[in-house]
Amino acid sequence: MAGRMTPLLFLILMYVVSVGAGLLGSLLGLGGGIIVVPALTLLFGVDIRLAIAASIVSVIATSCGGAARYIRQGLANMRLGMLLEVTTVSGALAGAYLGGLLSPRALYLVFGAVLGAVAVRMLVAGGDGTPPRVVPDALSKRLKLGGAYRDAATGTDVVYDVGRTGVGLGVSGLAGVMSGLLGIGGGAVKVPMMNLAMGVPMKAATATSNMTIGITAATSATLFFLRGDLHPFVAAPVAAGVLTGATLGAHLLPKLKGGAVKVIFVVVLLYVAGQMLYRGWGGAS
Amino acid sequence: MTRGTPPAAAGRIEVIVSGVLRAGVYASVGLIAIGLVVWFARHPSLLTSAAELKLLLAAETPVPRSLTQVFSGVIRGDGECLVALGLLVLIATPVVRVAITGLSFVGQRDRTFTWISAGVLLVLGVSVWLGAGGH
Repeated sequence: MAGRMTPLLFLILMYVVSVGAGLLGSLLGLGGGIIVVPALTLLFGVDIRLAIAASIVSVIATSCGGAARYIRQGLANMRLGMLLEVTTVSGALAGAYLGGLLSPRALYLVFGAVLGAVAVRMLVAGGDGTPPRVVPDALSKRLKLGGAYRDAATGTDVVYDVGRTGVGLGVSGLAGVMSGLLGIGGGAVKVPMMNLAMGVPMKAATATSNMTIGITAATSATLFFLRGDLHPFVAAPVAAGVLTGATLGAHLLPKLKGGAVKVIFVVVLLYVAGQMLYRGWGGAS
Repeated sequence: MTRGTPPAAAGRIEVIVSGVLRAGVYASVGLIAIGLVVWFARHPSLLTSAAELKLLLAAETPVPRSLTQVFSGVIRGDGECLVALGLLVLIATPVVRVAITGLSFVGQRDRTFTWISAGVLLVLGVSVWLGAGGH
C-alpha cells in the first residue's frame, strides 16, 4: 500500500493522524510527538531523523494552539513557566546538539523506566489530580511562584503554593534533553513533576507544561532546520493537523474534571513507557 | 462573579500574549496552506505519482535550510519555500511569546524575572549560532 501511495494521499492521511495526536496531546500537556513519530516511521516509512524534526514542529504547534487559550484563562503559571524554561531550553539545546554522542537505546530504557514509575506512582496516589500540600521553599517564596486560577468545571477559585523548586529546575532540564533528542515535548515528565513534586494542581500543571514546551521545541527545531532535517512536505500535514487537534483539545480541557484528565494521562504514560522499553530492549528502531 | 469572567490571574499581558500566539498560529497555517496549493499547482505530478512521494520522503533530498534560501524561494513563488516560511513562523511564535513576557517583567520592574527571561532568549541565540555554524 505504502508503495502506491501518492503525495496527496500521504498529506491527507498524515493530516488525519496528526489531528488525533494534537487532540490527545493538548488534553495531556504532551506535544503529540509520541504518536506522530511512530506513525511517520512505522506507517509511512519516513526516516527517523525527518520524523523527529517534523514531530518537534508539531510540538510547537500544540503548545501555541493550547497555550493561547490556557494563558487567557489564567491556567498557565507565567512566572513558574519562565523559570523552568531556563533549564528546559538549555536541556533541549544540549539534547539536540549532543544527540549523536549518546546511545538512543540506553536513553529509551531509562526514559521508559522513569515514565513507568511516574505512571504507577500516580495510580497509587489516587485522588483527582489535586496535588499534595507542599511547603514553599525559599526560592519559590522569593520568586513568588505560587499561582491561582478559576476552575471552570467546579466554578471555584484555586490558590496554590509551589515547593521543591530545585527539583523542578533539575527535572525540567532532563525533560529538555529528552525533547531535543527524541522530538517529543517533555510534557510527560513535566506535568507529573509539577503535580506530584511541586504541588501544582493538575490543570495548572498541564497548562504551564503546554506553554513551556513551545519554546523548548523551538530551540531544537531551529537546530534541525539549519541542519536540513526539517522537510516541508513531511512537517506541513503534521503541523496543520496537530494545530487543528490542539485547538479542539483546548476547548475540551476546562470542561473536564481533574480526575478524568489524570486517568487518560496515566493510560498514555503506561503505553509510552512500554513502547520505549520495547525499543530500548532491541525491538523496532 | 459572572461566568466566563477571566480570573484575577489573567491580566492584560495574558490577553496580549494569547493574541500573539493565536496570530502566529493563523499566519503559519495560512502560509503552509497557500504553499501546499502553489506546490501542487506547479507540480501536478504530486497528485498521482507514487515515485514522487518516495523522493519527498527521502532524507537525502535537499530542502531549504537557511533564511536566504527560504526567502529567495518565496520571491520565486516556490511552494516548498512558502511552506518552510510557515514552519519558520511557527518556530518564531513561542520566541515572541517569551520576549513579550520578558518585556512585561521589565515593565513591572521585576529585575529577577527580566534576567530570567533574557537567559531563556540567550540560550535560543546559542542554538541559532551553533546551527548556523554548520555541521
